Amino acid sequence: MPIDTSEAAQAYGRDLLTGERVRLRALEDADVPALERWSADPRVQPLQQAVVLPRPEGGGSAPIRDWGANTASDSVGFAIADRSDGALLGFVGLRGAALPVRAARLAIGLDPDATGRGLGTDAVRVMVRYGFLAMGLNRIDLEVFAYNTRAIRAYERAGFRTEVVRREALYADGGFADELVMALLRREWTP
Amino acid sequence: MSAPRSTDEAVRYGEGILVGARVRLRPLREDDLARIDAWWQDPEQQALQQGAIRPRPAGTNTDLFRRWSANEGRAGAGFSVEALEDGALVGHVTLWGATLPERDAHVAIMLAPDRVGHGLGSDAMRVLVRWAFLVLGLNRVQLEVFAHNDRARRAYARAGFVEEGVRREAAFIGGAFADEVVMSVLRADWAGDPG
Repeated sequence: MPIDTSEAAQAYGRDLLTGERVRLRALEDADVPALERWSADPRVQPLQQAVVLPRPEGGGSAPIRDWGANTASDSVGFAIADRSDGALLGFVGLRGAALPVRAARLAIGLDPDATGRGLGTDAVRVMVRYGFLAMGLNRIDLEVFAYNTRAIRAYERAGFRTEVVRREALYADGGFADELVMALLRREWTP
Repeated sequence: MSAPRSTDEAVRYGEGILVGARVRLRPLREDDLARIDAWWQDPEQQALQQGAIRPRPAGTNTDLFRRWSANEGRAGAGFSVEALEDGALVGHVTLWGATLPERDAHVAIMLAPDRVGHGLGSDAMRVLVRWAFLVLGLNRVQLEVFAHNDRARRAYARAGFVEEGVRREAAFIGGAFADEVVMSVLRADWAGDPG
């Protein structure tokens, strides 16, 4: 929708980071310990890093703070909050945006106790909208392990489709496993 | 393929591992750098390899190629490609990003523009893949190629690479978005020694 009045501009800013059930907001210091704890959770690590290798507390906080600082135009990261009660649910971000390709990579991490309720799908939808409408991206892609079927379904619901199967690209539980590249193009996207 | 069982077998392994049917891989030499740097800046090459046509002053990339070819550590390597028939420098290959526990790495090749079309590139890739599997113990070797680079895609297929998918509009060239093909060869599918 074209922004042709002051009110339209304000409405765009107000709605841009708000989904049906979650809203994206700037990272706060108080978010970091929980986000770090979730990313080190042995239930989460096989889905995010493949390698189960928890680090001491504080060891993973710098990358989260850097990603959420939002100082450069090539990357953006937000805390995910529940719209109903404001509770922290996770972190979502886009990285690697550059001219002339205008493509970025999406990543999301959720509270392992908040999965399975469509909150991640909603957060991905909002992040995608931000990427296309606010960053001018043409392509958003992501990598997901082929065994992470719950995440794949969520990404499909958000409009992503599988482009590449990187065969045996990761190693978990004593064997090689595939990794998918999924992508959503601007011209395929429906707001 | 098994580990050498005698001194002679070990020596033969070392002698042959970097030698193909038409090329051999050898360490970078200082006097290679001017030509390698010129190929990398050539707008025709850039349309095949980098997408962005943006030549930089001569010598800008010599440190990059020195670093890629220093061959310290076990995560990667860079070699100059030499034609067996005349000993001329005909290209450069790079392998990077080899990690545990994935045992996966990326490779790339650049050929002298006047030596393409004679099978030197696919032979160099065969040798590099063999080196990756037999020397580094890798399980998977990956490369990316622009969809429009049909000559390179055929050469990679001859070297054993299989197309795994297409990253749509992942590049920008000539005023339009272009696709990028992901290709790989797995240890289990690898046909073995190049002839």
